[in-house]
Amino acid sequence: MPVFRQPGFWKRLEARGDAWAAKRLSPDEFAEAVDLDRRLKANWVRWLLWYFAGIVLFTIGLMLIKGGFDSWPTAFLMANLLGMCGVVFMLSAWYGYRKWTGARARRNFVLFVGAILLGGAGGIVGDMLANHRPLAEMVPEKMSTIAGTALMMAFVAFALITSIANLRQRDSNQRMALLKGEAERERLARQTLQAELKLLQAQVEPHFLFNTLANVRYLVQTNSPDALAMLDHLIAYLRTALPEIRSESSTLGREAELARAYLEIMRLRMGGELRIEISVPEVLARAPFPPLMLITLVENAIKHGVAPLAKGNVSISARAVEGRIEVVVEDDGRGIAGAVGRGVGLTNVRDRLAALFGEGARLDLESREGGGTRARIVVPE
Amino acid sequence: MKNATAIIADDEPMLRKQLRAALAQAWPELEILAEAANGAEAVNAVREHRPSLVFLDIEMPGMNGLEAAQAIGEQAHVVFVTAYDRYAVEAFERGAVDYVLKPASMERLAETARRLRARIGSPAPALDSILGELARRIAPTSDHLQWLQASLGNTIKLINVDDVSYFQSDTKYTRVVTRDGEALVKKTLRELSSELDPRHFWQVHRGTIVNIRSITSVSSDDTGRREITLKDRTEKVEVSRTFAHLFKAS
Repeated sequence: MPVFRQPGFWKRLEARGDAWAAKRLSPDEFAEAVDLDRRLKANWVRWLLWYFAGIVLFTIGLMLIKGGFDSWPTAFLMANLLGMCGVVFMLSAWYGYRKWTGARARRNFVLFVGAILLGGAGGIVGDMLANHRPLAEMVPEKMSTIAGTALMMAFVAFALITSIANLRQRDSNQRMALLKGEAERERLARQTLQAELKLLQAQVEPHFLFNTLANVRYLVQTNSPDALAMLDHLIAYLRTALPEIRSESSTLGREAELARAYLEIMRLRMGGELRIEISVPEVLARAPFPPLMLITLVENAIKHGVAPLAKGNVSISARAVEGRIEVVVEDDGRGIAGAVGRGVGLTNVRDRLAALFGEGARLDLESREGGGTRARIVVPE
Repeated sequence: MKNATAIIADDEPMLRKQLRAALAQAWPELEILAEAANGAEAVNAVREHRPSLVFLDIEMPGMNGLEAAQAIGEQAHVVFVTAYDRYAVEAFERGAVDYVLKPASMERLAETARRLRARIGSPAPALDSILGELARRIAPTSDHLQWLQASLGNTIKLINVDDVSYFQSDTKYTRVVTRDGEALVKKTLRELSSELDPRHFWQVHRGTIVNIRSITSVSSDDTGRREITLKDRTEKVEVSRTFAHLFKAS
C-alpha cells in the first residue's frame, strides 16, 4: 500500500503543515491562513470551476493572438502556467501584503522585473538552441517587442499587486490602531482601580496617628500649652483626611489645608524646628484637584528631606500656567540623592495622575547637588 | 547584680522625654545613659555606654530601628518602640521580641519592665531571623526598581522607569534616554539589568537595555540586522545578533 493511502496520512501531513505555519507566521497571519483554508475547503468545487472557466477563456484568448500559439494543448498549458502564477501573486498580495509595501516592495519589484527579463532572455536562447537558428537571425525588432511586452506586463501585474497590498496594509493599520486604543483604555481603567486600592491601603496609616497621640499625651502630662494647639491641628487633619479616602475629587484649597494641618503637627513634633510656607491663590483654592496627592509629596519632603536633618523649611506654592495648575512642594532638606528607589507613595501618585489625566498631567522631582528637593505636580485646569 | 542601664532612641524629642518619664515611674532603678535621635547615633551610643537595654523606635530617618538592631546585634537587649502596627506586633509576639507601644500606658509599660527585669541577666538573643521578616512587613517595597536618580548638570532628577525609552552604557555610568531628553545614572548597565523588571526591560545589545513598552516597530534589513524604532525618538536602536532571537521574524 502506498504511503499516502495509509490511514491518517493526510491528517498527519496537514497537522504538520499547520504546526510549521504556526511557527513561521505571526498570530494574525496564522489566523488569516486558517480563514483561507476554511473558505477553500468549504467551497472547493466552486473555486475549481471558476478557475477552469478562467483558464478556458484565457486559452481562447491566447489562440486568438495573431502569430501566437499554434496548437490548443500548448495554449492550454500556457494559460494554466500563467493562471497559476496569477493566482499565486494575488494570494501573495492579499495575504502577504507586508511584503509588497514600503522598502520591501521596491526590492521585490527589482527582483520581479529581473526575473521577467531573465525569463525572456532564457526563452530566446532556448528557441535559438532548439531550432538551430543563429543569434543574428533574431531580429532586433522582435527582441525589443518581446522585452517591451514583458516589461509592460510586469508593470501592470506589479501595480495590481502593490495596490491590493497597500489597501490591505491600510486596513490592517486601522484595525491595529483600533485594537491598540481599546487595549490602552482597558489598561487605564485597570490602573485606576489598582491605584484606588493602593490609595486606600496607603492611607490607613495608623503610625502617624499614634505617634501624634503619643506626643499629645506627653504635652498633656507636662501641662504644656502646645497640647491644645496639637489637638486642634490633629482634629483639622482628621476632618479633612477621613472623608478624602472615598472621594474622587477634592479642591486644591482642601488639599492645602490638609497639608497645613499635617505640617503644623510635624512642626510641634519636631520641637519647632520646621518653617512652613503655603501660598495658594484664592482662585486656585476652589479649583478641583485629586485628593491625597499633595499630602504624599509633603510627607516625602518631611520624611526624606527635613526629618534626617531634624530642621528645615517646607513650602507649598500653586499657580496657573497656560490652562494648567502647577503645584510645587519644595524643601531644603537632605535631597533625593540618599534615599528612595522602590517607594510606593510616589508611584501611586504617578499612576493615579496617568489614570485621571493621561498625558495631560505630570509629576517631576529634582534635587540640587547640595540638597533640597523640588516636587511638582502639573494637572489640566 | 549591677543596676540595669538603657539607651533611648527616637527621632522625636518629645517622645524620648515621654518614654524617659514613663520609665522613671515604671522602673525607677533603670538608669538612662543616653538618648539618640536616629539609628546611627543609637549604634554609637551602645558601643560607647554598653547599656543592658536599648529602646529603639522603628521609624527613624537614615538608619531605621531594624537596621540599628542588626548593627547592635547581641551587644544589648533590644526593645522595639512602635506606634501601632498590626503586622509588626504579630511578628514581635511570635518571635518573642520585646516591644513597647506608643503611646505607652503605665500598666503596659510596668508589665514590660517586669518581663525585662527577668531577662536582663541572660545574654541578649539573636534577632537576625526575625529582623528580615520585620523589614519586609514594615517597609513594603515593590520588587523592582521604580525610580531612578539621574543627574543632569548639577541637579538630580527622579525618573520613573516607565518613562524611559532605553538605557545606553556610557563608560562607568549609564545614559538614560526618555521622551524629554537624557541624563546620567550612576549605575552600570549590569547593575540596572538586575534591578529592572525583566518583563518590561530587555537587553538587546551588550550596551543597551530597551523599555519594550516604548517600542513602535522592529525592522530588519537584507543582512538580518535588526533595528528598533521607539516612540517619540528619532534615533534607532540596534539589536545585536546575540539578542536577535528576542524578536522573532515578523
